[in-house]
Amino acid sequence: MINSLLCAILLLLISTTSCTKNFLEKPKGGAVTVDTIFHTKNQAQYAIARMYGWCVRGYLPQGSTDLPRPEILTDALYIISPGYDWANAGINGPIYKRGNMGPNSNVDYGWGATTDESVTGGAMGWHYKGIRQANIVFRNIDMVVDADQDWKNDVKGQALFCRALQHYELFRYYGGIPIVSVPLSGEGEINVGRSSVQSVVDSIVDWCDKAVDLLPETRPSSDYGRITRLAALALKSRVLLYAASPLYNTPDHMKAALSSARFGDARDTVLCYPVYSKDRWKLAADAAKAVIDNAAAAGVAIYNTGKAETEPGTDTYAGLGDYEAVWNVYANKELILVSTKNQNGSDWGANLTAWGKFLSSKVGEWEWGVKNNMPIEFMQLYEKKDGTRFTLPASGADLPVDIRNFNLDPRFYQTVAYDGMFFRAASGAKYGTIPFYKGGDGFADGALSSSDAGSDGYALDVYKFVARVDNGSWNHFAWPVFRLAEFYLSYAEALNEFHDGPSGETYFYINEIRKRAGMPNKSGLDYAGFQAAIQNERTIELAYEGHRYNDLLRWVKAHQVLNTNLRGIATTARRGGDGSLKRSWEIVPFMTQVFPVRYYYLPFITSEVSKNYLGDGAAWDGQNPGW
Amino acid sequence: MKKIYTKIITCALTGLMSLSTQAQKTEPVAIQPQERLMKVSTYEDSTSVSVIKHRTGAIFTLSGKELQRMMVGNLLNTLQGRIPGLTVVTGSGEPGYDNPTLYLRGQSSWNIAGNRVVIYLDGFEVDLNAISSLSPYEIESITLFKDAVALSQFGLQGGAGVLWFKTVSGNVNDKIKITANARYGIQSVIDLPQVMNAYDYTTHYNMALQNDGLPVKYPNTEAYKANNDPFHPNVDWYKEMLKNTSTIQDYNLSFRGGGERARYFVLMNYTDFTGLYNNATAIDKDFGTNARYNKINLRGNVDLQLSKNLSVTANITAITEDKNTPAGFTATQLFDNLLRTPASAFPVVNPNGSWGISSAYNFNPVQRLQRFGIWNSHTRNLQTNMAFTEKLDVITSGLALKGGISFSNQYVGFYQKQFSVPAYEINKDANDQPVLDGDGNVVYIQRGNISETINEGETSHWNRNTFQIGLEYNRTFGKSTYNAGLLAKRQNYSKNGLVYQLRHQALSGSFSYDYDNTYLFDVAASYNGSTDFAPGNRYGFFPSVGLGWVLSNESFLSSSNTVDHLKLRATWGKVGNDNEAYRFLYQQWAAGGGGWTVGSDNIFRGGRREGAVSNAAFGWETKTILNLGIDITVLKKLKGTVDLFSEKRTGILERPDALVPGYTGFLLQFLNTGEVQNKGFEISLAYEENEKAFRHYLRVSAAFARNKITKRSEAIQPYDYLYSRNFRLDQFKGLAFDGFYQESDFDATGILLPGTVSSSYATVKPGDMKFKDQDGNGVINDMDKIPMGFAKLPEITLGFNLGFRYKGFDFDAFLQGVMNRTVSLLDDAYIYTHPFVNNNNMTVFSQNSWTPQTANTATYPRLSTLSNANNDQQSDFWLRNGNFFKLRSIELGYTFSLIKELDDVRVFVNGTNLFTWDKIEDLEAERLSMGYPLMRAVTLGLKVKL
Repeated sequence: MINSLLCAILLLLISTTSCTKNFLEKPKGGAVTVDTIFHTKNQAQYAIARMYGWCVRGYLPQGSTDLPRPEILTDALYIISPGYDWANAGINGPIYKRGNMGPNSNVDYGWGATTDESVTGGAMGWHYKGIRQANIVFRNIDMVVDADQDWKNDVKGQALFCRALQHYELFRYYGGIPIVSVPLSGEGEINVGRSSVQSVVDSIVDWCDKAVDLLPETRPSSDYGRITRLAALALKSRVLLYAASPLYNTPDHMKAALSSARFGDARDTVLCYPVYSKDRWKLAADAAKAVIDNAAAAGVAIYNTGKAETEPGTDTYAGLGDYEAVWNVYANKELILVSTKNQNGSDWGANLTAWGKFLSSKVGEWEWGVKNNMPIEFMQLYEKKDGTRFTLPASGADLPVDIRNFNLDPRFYQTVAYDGMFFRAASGAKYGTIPFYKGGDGFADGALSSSDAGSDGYALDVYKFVARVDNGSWNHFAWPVFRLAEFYLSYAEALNEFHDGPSGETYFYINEIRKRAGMPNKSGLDYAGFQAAIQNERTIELAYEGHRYNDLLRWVKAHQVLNTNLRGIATTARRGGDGSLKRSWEIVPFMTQVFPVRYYYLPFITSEVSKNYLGDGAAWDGQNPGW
Repeated sequence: MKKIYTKIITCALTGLMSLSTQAQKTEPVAIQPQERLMKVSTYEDSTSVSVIKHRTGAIFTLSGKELQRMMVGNLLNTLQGRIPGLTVVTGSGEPGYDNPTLYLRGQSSWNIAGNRVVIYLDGFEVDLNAISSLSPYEIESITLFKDAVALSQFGLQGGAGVLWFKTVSGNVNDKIKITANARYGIQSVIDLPQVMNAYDYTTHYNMALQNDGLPVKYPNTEAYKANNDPFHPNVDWYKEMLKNTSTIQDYNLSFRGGGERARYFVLMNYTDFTGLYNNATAIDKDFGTNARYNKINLRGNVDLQLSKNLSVTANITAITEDKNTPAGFTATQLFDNLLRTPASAFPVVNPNGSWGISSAYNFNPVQRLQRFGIWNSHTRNLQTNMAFTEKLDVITSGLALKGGISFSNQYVGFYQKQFSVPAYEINKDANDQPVLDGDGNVVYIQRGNISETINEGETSHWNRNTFQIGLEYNRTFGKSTYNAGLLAKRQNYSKNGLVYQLRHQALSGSFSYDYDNTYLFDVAASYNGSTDFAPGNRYGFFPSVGLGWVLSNESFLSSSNTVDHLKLRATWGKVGNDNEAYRFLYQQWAAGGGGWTVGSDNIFRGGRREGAVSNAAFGWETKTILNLGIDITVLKKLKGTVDLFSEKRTGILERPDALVPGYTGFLLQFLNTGEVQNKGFEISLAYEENEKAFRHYLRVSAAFARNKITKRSEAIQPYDYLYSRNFRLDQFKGLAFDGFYQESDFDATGILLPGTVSSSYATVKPGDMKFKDQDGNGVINDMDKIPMGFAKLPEITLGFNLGFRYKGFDFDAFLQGVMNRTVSLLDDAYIYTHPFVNNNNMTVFSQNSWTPQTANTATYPRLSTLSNANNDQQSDFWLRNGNFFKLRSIELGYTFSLIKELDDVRVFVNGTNLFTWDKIEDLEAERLSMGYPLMRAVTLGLKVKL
């Protein structure tokens, strides 16, 4: 009424043209809804791209520019704290390592803070964002009018995989979590509590099986980066390997070690299987074998050209050893699925900063940047080239010479840059002998020894995924979500566990990997000896690809390995007999790392716990034990 | 009738319109003698007229003359403390970039824009920065609308208060009144942070390294005492960069006059305001500039009586502003770097004549000032209003038709010449000595390159159009007086970055009745809609009602010699507040963002996701205000006004995260669910003696506003003090400082003894801060952060004004104070309080740091070169009482009439912001001495009137 009175006055007093009823109408344009997106194939591709963006990540940190490598949580990496806490703190790494992790400072990577929208539930909420997007794609893709059924089935397969992958991500942090397989609606009450480990594993496996039926064997190169059937088999294999491992499938003799990470009652189903079963190792072995057996049809094989070692100072692909080539050669045949997220896209603005900064290495940035210090505790996991164990002497007079003379596993030299090494990336100034040393004997500090915490002289810098070939371009990197070597090692591990000792087939798969690396075969080991060997092999082969954190957890070794003093090598310039600069070195302390047993399962963020849906709705709020 | 309409439509079409009905409505209302006493006005000026007729409302009107008391470059900064209920939060001191933030009665929403005071100029809404560049000499009056009766007519846009500027208009005068004003002011810095000299810096740095277990960096700190050693410099960066004084000057010329048919006011003003940068043009005027702001204002206000019944008003303001700043830095960057660069970092100029630099401090301020070019910002402002009034006495006596149209816009563009040249770092060895090459020459490392760019573009623009038309009725029958108005209004607003125009459409009405000037009754309401809301929810109705009783007109008081005037007022009503940051929330949109790279050619595919779930009931924030007031005048000289208010803001937008499980993956939309309560009062008292030769006055005002969040979606917390609910908006929360960890708290291996609280933030060492463990769990974490102090926005604002006039002399002084304010040095003065971390400099703040020797007297934690998350938690160690008092203005003038032709000549000397009293050691409380400093000014002025 008043509205029309208003209009009437305006109509009367001004003119008939200017008083249109629509003055306050929002102009058309701009609104794209879920319905319009799933109308055409072209539009639907946008939603699918977002699903990939949220779901397929491997262990690659994403989001804020301050996240370090996932290895920051383990013994594989030390980033100077507090000097580089800006680079450390994104996932609460320093808090974690000091043993002070809490519900609101857990280390779930989630998706970081700098995103285009807000989320409920902290980092955990981001996993469910991806799950929701996958569920939306899965439910709505049939609405597309201009696509055939094969294409729709393919998309459904990708959506099922994405849903499964993000459930796995949650599972590996928290144990049993709420399972969500439909896009939930806001109407009415919804209540999804934590599911048991068994249900979560069964669901993921079920979705993977379904995805296998829907997905194609191979894809054209224009679709490189998309999920294939082999990727679904790979995810199933990894989940079943985890499920068979002692953290979830706990043999009686290991229960005591985990007692403070368990409730000791029926609630433990969200943490582990109620009863140990060796058959789970059989399932894990079969799933890994399925990946191996299906690899050829997908065009996937171990990348082995017979070139075990990288040529010193090389800056070409041809000069790289096979192991180093696996992450440098774009789309090489060993890769099953990569996260292209950081590759030459525009998703993060300057996309390549992901490699340059997140996984920043001092040599990668040459001057600016954070050193990825390798602790000697991790260095000593590398065998000598003859297959014997290696222990670092307390000090030495000439680091680059000493390091070469240690004659370690060639993979060591392809993973770590060290003071005095000749490093060559053809672009710009990233070229020359690496100067990490502190000044002495009249020599000033090496140019790369400076850091936010002052000159440190720390001598080892991990440079896996650091550009040096192809004119220092980062474009060829894509994070390996799955590569075939992992499943060779998974298969060997599962067989050894299931058969209580290695067989010829078991040796074959570990030695295929060692052969490629230029290491001698393993042989003649008993169950425990092989277990140690395969665990070490996995640690070395997959170093800095994100596996160490979960491997230590599932082996129930984290509380042994990570309660430790991490130490490093520091170099100081000394004047040699001929007046030249020599890098004398000694072992220096990094930090004392603490790993309480309750760390085996991450705590849920308090704000989610307080909503009281995780637990039984009564006495138990759903939080993991000890938190 | 027909004829009249033709006339009106002709007027409308030719665009001869403007001035709101509110403004127009009020002027004809005769102000009762008793009420006239209530106005705050100066002796010279008695023309300031209240713009609203609701005599029951809480409004405050300040004469424009008061704004001439301060010599600042920004008109808004002259409002400091002068209007009770208006909090003016000072911005930077940088010429041209010094807008303050305004609040009415504190704040009542956690959405920033929900507290934004709406600005009107001559009856039409304008942007804040349309006001900042006006000259105080063109302002007739400023009125603050505070309560429901005053604000409900503004409907959706009135929720945070309205500040109404009225410019000077022409007057009937047989002689043209020509006035020239000239002011020239010398400004000087109120306060700069005190940093260490090179020797003290390097010795303390060494100490910090030793505390960290690291070797010292400066083996020979004595070298830094020499002052002339380029390898061990001692540079006072503030001195290198800044002059002691800068100038501010303005000049204007105005013409005012008119007859029955035409009246006019024309003003031209020129202002020139320079900054503090020293020797900016030392190399060439193309390479560097001092900060400089100058502007030219032109105003033409014309009132025309076209016929017996038709009058037309036109107001035009045109302003151009030019702001020059160095292209090498922003003021914030510069002052951060002046503060953080140690005296020992590098010499301004190396021994070989090149610019000095270092890798850790890659910012040579002098080089950047003198060599890196000029950023020139140019602003054009144009505001035009036209309005007409057609008396419709033909229909019924007292009825009038009014209409108006306004265009208000601003464009800001920039032109930049930016250069860079390399600087050279002296290569030093581990002993802090220069490295020499084989020939014994100093080895330099080049930093930076040569570059040159020239570019230009738009910084911002906005444009607002308003059209309004309405009817007005004023008539008295015997003892009953009726005033009524009905106004229809449309407004649209566009600016850079705004995809859809902001559009409003409103019908507002008001009705006032009084009986015998004793019983007052007001009703006002508006029916106001915005394009931001869904059809069906688009319009809101905002009613208000007010009652007044003038006791002094009752027989029992009318003969009193003591009480001249006494009025009681009460109003109640609702206003709304829409917010341009939250629009169209009733729709769910898909949103772009995220994506994926596929294919061997690395083709990136953009992503789309569903947008936030729609909020079907999306609406505005509503404020319900109750206001009680008393106006009193006793003994003809002492006047007082008291307003008590209680307001409740409901529908504050927030995401209801606290209730929805994370597993849903929902992106939640903002809902109108939050609530804040706000209560307080304003008191103003004035004593004025105008009858005697020694005329004098004393005025005091006090305003208090305390808010409390009463409803907010928050995760469940174990302790009440962790919620923001039941506390103030922006209430500080922090750890309670409990002294420093002492060596006795640790065992021989450096492990904390059992029973000593540990920190979740860092591994603590002796000399780190210890805090009270509020929840008693033995670990200091976020659960131990308790409410502390107040918020940064003060709860109390005080004003004291006194002055006299005797013979030719006049004197005026104004003192402003704020209380119940807390500031955090951690938030606002981080560089100042954190030596060495992030390569920061050291200041006097951390002089007395913890060492085993000073364990009992230390006032700062152990020095360290590393950041320390434990010590960097918000805590009462960092919080300070932010109360301050400032002598905003003091002025002494003398007026003489030497020449017959001149009406008068006045010379005066003025001081602006001369004295500050506060409780913070070594820092100025208002801005904590950070950023471009605040300035005091001493000004000489001359006014000639003829």
